[in-house]
Amino acid sequence: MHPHFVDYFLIVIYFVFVLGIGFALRGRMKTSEDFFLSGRSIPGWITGLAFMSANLGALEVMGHAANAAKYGMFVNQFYWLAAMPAMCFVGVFMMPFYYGSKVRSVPEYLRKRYDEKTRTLNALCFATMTLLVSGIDLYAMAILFQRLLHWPFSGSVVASAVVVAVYIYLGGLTSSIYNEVLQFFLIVFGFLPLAILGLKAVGGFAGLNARLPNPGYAHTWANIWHATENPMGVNWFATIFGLGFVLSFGYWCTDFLVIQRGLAAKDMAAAQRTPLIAAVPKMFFPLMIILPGLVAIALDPTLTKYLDGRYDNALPAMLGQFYPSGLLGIGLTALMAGFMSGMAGNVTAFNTVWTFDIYQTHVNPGQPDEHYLKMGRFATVFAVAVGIGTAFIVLRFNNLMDYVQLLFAFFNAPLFGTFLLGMFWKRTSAHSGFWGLLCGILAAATHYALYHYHVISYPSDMAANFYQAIWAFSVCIVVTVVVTLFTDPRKEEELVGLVYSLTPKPRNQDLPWYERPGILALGILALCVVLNIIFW
Amino acid sequence: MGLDIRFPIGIILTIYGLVLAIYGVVADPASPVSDPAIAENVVRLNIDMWWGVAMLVFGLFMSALAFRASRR
Repeated sequence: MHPHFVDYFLIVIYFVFVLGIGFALRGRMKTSEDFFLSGRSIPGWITGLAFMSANLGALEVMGHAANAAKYGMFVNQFYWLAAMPAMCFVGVFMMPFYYGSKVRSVPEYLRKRYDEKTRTLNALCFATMTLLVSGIDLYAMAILFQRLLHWPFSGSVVASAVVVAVYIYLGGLTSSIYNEVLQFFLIVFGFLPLAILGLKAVGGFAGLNARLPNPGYAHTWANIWHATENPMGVNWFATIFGLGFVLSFGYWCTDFLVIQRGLAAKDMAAAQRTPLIAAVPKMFFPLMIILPGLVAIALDPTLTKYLDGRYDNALPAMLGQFYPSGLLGIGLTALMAGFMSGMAGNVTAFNTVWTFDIYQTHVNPGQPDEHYLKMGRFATVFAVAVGIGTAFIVLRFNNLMDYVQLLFAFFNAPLFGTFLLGMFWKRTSAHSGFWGLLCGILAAATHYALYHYHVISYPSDMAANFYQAIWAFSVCIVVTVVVTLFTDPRKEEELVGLVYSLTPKPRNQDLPWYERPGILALGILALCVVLNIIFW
Repeated sequence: MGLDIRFPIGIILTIYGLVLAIYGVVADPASPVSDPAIAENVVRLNIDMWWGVAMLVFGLFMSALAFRASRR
């Protein structure tokens, strides 16, 4: 990869814009609600694109391209089996509780549905997880700077961190959401030509299939039935239940990083549409991200020509191979934009949970609003500083995706059990949430320890993560149900707006059909089935 | 919110489109593909220029939407 002056120039323009948006929004951040929830005033298409882009960090673009090079089209499952149903479910069934109960964060919902200790446990877990994840994007960005500008790794980490800190400090969640939307368009314009040029160069789909090192790489579903037949070493049960149900629903339905974007929407209908609008581009992202990964492995099956022995190099290597200077600048900007908004998403979610659910609740309650606004800004700086530290932890792992799915299997998988019972079973008692969640996390920890010390073994780390999620979720469900049966239920009138059977359904009859969440969700799922059949 | 997100998107894509299209016309940089195995398939096209034009059109369209909304 040899960038010219024009490429650097395009990258610089992007940084000027990002900081400019932060400064333009600075004067508008007057209350803590403005800073943390954008004053609940943003139209659905913007929160929808932000919902998708908050998730679209280094992991998504670099990690899934790398995964595609390693595991083939099986990686489509992360999108079509995992993300699509979960995104439709959160939009149609769960957003009414999040948005309708006027909570400011996911842990705050848990306080209303269960009790204070459940909320605190979740807030602490989430804060820890978010900080551990935020370093990934800094790490990826620093690697890119290191290669392009030959800056030292630590200097690159600090430089990228400072830019993110400045624009969130100034503009809060709004700044983060605006940059996420901007980043979405940059990614589409930056990566779409890569898929087209790459596919053309290997001779279309037929040429691609002929060059793949293993014919199984060309299929999403055909090899799922036996663990020995597919490259990831997972069978249909681990894939459908572990990834498609527990991990994906756990992430899309309970992770405050994405839910926060829906909470910023201007009304209930916009909040419900947020994940559904996000699902449409998300469905087509494999074409832009997985295809270049497949092209990389087709051209370099031994990882010696372009990939330098690392799957994570797949996307940058393909950019360098196919993009002339000029377009290379756009592609690199898109990568950096992805990393920065991934980091920013984590930081804005962290500062909200820290300020509302930990600081305001336990450390210093009853202060005027400006105090919490200031705390949010301080937490931003703190989170970025810790993020710099975690970037060095990530440096010691050699596969980003394994690292992050491990964290999700720890924290999100049991949490989804707590939510599912809390929202759809009104009998679930106040105490049971805490014990179910705690035991679920302990089950994940036990499973991890057993796997780590080779007491149990799996064909791949990813398979271990899927089973860890299944165990954590199942233990959480069982413990919550058992504790509920031995404790008193909550009064039904306290649960209105929090539990499905006790809440009036949002009436969407006055909306035109194309704005009704249920119809949109069915359309998305139908389209998704078609894609699955085409790439079977 | 006051600041219409379509303005910054429109402006940055317009600038990117212009820079890329002009660079494509002036320099017409060749694709760096060096692999002989695929050399015969590589697209012979001024990709910078054409993609720059595409970004420019989209950027102007976004700016126009934002401008029209601000007039109301």
